[in-house]
Amino acid sequence: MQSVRIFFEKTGGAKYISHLDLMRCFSRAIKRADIDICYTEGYNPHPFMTFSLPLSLGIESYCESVDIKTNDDMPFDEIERRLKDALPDGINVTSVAAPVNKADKIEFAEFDIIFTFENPGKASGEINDILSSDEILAEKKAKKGREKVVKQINIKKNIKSFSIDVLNGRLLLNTVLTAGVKENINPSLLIECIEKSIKSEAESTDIIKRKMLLSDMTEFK
Amino acid sequence: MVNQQQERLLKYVQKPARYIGGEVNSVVKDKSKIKFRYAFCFPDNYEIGMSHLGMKILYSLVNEREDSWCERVFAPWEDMERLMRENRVPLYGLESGDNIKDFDMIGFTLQYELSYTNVLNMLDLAGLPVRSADRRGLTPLVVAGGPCACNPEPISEFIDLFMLGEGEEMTNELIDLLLKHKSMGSSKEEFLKQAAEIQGVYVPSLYDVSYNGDGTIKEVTAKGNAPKTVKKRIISDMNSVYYPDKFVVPFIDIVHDRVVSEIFRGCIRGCRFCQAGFIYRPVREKSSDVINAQTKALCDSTGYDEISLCSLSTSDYSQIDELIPKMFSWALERKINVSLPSLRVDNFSDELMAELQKVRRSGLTFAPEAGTQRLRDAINKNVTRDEVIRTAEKAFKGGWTAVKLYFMMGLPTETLEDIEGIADLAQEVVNTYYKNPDRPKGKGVTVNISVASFVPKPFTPFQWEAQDTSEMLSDKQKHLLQSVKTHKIQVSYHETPTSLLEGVLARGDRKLCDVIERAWRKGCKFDSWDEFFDFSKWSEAFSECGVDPAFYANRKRSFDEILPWDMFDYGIRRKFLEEENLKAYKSETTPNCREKCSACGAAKLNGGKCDAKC
Repeated sequence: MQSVRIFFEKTGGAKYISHLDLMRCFSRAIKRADIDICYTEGYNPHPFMTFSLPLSLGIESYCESVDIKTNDDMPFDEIERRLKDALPDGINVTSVAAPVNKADKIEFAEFDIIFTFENPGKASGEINDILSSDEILAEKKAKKGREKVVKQINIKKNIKSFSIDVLNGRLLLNTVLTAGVKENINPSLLIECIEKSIKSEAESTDIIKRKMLLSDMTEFK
Repeated sequence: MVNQQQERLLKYVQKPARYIGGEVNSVVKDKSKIKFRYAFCFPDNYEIGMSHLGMKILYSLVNEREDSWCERVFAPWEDMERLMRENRVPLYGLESGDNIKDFDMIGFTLQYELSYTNVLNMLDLAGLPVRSADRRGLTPLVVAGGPCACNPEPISEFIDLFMLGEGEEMTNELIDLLLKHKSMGSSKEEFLKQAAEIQGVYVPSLYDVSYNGDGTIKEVTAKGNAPKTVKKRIISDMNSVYYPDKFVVPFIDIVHDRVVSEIFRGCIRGCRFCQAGFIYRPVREKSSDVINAQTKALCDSTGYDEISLCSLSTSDYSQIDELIPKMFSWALERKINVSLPSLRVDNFSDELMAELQKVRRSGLTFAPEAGTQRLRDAINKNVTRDEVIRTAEKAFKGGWTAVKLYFMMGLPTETLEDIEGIADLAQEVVNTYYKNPDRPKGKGVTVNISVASFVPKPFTPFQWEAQDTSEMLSDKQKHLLQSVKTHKIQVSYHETPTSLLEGVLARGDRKLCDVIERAWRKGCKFDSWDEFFDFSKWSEAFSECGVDPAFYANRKRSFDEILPWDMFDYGIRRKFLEEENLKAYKSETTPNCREKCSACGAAKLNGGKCDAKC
């Protein structure tokens, strides 16, 4: 039995595949690729498969990972070759290797958020002001018992760093946000918060996840 | 594959993966090498349409051709439709993202009558006039097939031609003919005249219908060389007919998300209420080796972990005892589950039961259809009370604690006694559970009874019958609820106005075209969905068009009335249906086709061959 970590990209139309659907998609791809994956014990066995961090619907990513266990010692490059053939367009395997870090060691994620604004120059200043202030209030939908409530939270502590650029009439916000089991934050929350504060809605917003990082800011492997 | 304009909308809709295409095994071709583009449309949402076997077969069949590209199109859900209309994004094929208005052929599969308004809505979303007469060009040609095509008159003014019966051969013949006429620069009229010569093709514009003073049909006249009766198409040899070795594997969960393996067509039973039991005759089986090989290929190409055998009555497949072990020999070690829907209670063998327990256990469902023996005999559902109880006993011994029983109400000759019989039979099943000494400790039993409202359909012995009115059905539903004495029996039933509309459209004529268009213009769509069905809009449409729905649904016809579908030959002799109708009133049964051939007439479609004959 061997543990295998598969890194993959989720781009283009594939960003509209939800986390649950992605799990099904992988388990079928593994079956098509005829990889001898371990099954869980029990009444209703299912393939042993763990994703490092679920990715929200609509976000592209270059750094997703999933761990599987195989019954045999199929070489990593063979697994990579077979999976590349079996997965749909937009889900692209970038590397297959033995896991190095535990998934719960992920603490940060780096995102590129690309806004299309009518006046990106003006927006750039405004966004800089918002992200530099001490309090960045976001509205988070939560549940209190059975009731649905909207909670105000300060997400300042979730923003590790950021930089803003204007490129070809579009505004690029590169930011490192807390991620993982302890302090995960969805970048959409930040975007909502920005759009609300500058009182103008972006014509379009694309979110791209670039890296998953450990506490020392090195990449998750 | 969606373009940027389409992609912009996806952020704002539920389940965006319905609209992106790009699934494993979806077919993308090089447009420059394609002469024929076909949009295969299912007039309901993605999850339902993607579950349909006929679409999978014809999609792959057309894509086998090098000169053609077939794409899938489904009815966008309300949120997506609103955005498409607001942003002027027309209906597109999932494979290319191109507007289907520019395709050569647009085909709809008509699986249920309540999808008709969606057909109109999809044509409109594509930017096409809904009426055939308003679409002047040769292409896109709008065609339709499927079980509802056996009486296509209610939508005959929207569709250019219908394909009656099985489509594997007809589709290719039609594509060849359309390609020929496209290169010749023919008019639509010239093409349609030629198309009518293909067996199974019905071109409504080539027929005139006149009516009597009472609204019944006086005469149907064929224009020019159009055949007087259109004979449905069948596939003669099921072992050699095309079957796909790949299914498109969806990203989102669909209704039937598994490998579906067709095992035979037709049915030996002859239940008098069942349209499928008649219109798909004669019985034609695939050999167990062919099925086994096809199923294995599909498992390899899809990665599915479940197989479902598909037919009208799985346990009537003559080679079932050979097929199941063959499939289990490779499926079990690959952790693939085999499910057998449409099992009948009367031939549920011990061996089959034992085999079924090797894989995951799902719910058990039986369909006695009626509560008393008298009524079961009248509808020719040859199942006895003892058989139901015996099967329940077996199931409970096998560890099941919940069973589902299907019934109908509103059947011809039905009385309140028959309704009480439903509750009594369910109660007996409950009692059977408690008679089992080995039942699980501390666990009760649940008997779910699902009661559908009977809708008379064309090409059945009940095609002349009056459907119960909504009031009659409501009374019967109340009576049933009062007859059930325990919470261990759960009752569910259909909403009655939906059944009324289904009944009207099923046996309707051309006068309903105006009603359907009007209802759609008032906003009716997704009529089979409770959250969309709006009976008040339909009622307005009926009264504005001066059409009385009761004329179609609740009126008993005489044998000498000309029915709108009498011009179609589905193999079954009309005289046979009349005899079956009379036998129902005497509660006389007809043996199944394996016991004794009743000479229904369907075998003549296949040169006298029928696999039901011993």
